[in-house]
Amino acid sequence: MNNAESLPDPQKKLVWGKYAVIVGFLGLAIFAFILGNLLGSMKIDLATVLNAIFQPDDSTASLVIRNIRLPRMITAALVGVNLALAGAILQGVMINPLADPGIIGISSGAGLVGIVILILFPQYNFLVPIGAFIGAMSAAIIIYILAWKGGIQPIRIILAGVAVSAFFGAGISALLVFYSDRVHGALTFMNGSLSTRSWPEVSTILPYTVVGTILALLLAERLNILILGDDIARGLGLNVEVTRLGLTAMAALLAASAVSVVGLLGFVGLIIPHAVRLMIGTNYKFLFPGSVVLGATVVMLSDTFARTAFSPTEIPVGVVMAVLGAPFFLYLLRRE
Amino acid sequence: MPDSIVEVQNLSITFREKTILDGINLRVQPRKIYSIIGPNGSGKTTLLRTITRNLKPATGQVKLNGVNIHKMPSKAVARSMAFLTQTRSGRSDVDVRQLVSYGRFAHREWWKGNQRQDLEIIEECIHKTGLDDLANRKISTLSGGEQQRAWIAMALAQKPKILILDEPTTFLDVSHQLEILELITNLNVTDDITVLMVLHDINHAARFSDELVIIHQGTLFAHGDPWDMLTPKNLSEVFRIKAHISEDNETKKPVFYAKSVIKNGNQRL
Repeated sequence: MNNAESLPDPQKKLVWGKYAVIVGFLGLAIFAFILGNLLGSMKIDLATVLNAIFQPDDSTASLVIRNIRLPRMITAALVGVNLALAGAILQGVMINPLADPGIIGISSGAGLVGIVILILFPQYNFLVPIGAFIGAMSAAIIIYILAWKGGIQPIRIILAGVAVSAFFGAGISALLVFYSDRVHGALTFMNGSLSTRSWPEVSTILPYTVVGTILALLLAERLNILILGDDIARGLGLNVEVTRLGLTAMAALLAASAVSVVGLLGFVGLIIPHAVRLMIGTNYKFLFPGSVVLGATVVMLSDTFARTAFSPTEIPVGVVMAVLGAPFFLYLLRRE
Repeated sequence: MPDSIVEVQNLSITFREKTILDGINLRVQPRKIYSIIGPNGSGKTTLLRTITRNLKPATGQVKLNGVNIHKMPSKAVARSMAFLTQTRSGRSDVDVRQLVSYGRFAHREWWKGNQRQDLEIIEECIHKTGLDDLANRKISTLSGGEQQRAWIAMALAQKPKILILDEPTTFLDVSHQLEILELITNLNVTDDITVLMVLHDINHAARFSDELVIIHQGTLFAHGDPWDMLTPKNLSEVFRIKAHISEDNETKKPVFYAKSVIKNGNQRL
């Protein structure tokens, strides 16, 4: 094996710049995490925050941190990871830089089923995660069928996605009108909010984040090959249909788990992978870890801003993401 | 062992009730170079895409080393057969070495990275295609000919028995066209790789191939030695041209130049 060291390995080639950027993101994530625990209507200093995390006591400050801010920040981070991964996967699977669970309708599929359960069958609200997944997966399959015409073309995916999204969106609107007396919970669901999210939400979403992140890192090479185009990928020995279906299911699961916890939080899946691409390139071996860390960071920062900027009024984090994301989306469109 | 590496049996393809390929039979023998020629829209690319499992035949089958290719696992096919399409998408910032490493995908277990043998093969393929000095360059910064060589290096890293190429010289100027065809013929000799390609330039096809396959209106019109294929009759019936055919002094292969177009097909010989 001595000789192997002298051979350059394209997989392990040390690209210090890329690692440095990811480490930089990581530093930013830690900063965002601490900031989110520090800020709020109750003034709590850093020492108390750290004490509450590592040596909890029964003081009010400790309880606020452990029961409110800490789980909320963790939920924000996990949601950011899942949506960023889902976006990065979908952009590769659909060979479309504008794919995002929100834009192409997967989120609205999850949202419609979620809202049906919340409004019509509130007693079954524990079914929201599984229902959201079924909705997300159905939307993904419908988009695929609509866009399929002897192969997948990026433009048809987007158009089919917009159509499906509008269709499910109409269903959501209709429900909100018919059951206007019950919409309060549904309204925050529509905008994506982390308000009052706590440990139960963390335990809902955490398994998806852990499994999704590990699988994404293992499947990075397959995505690198898939985006060379179907014929080339097949020629290289990739089972294109199975890979694409499996990855779409994975993205739908990641998006659905996030939707079931925060509702329809848009733009994270779009802007995070792109921001990472701009900084460290398109290789999925770097894109996935970069998206994981930056996704967590951005949602934590956005939620902290949404919670504290207009205190005592709290705005949904989805509004902040839209304000950040819409201009970025337009910027990408102009770059294409 | 069957004496053919790829065998196409009674292959037909229909697309929306239109027949694209009709009853194609072809035996590709090991270590030879085959060029498929034919007018635009005759079904050349469709034939390659079916042989490489990118299309499913309506009837008939494709056998790779005697086994129906549609019943083989993807990776097993890729270890015997490499395919390069005419147009390619993908990431602009991939570098040559990384692109070549994708050729090892079918030889790796999915949880493993490149083993020492993989790394050696990657370097060997970069060297064989003359890309040593460009190995760390991004694909998008290379010229058309260099890019084509990088893709060929990737296909080569699959260690295939047969290399299938769809118009490997399109978009290239004439010197790069020759460079690519010379590279392919060299690999045929040094690595015992069978080559099956679609070529647009009939003179190139005649010069660099052992066998020519003429596809016309979805059928296999004729198949054989370049001297038997480049006849006035074939050129007029298939390509609708009057041609002058002569022998190239150096290669002893047939060359032709087109004299005129045959209009409305009423000047059949």
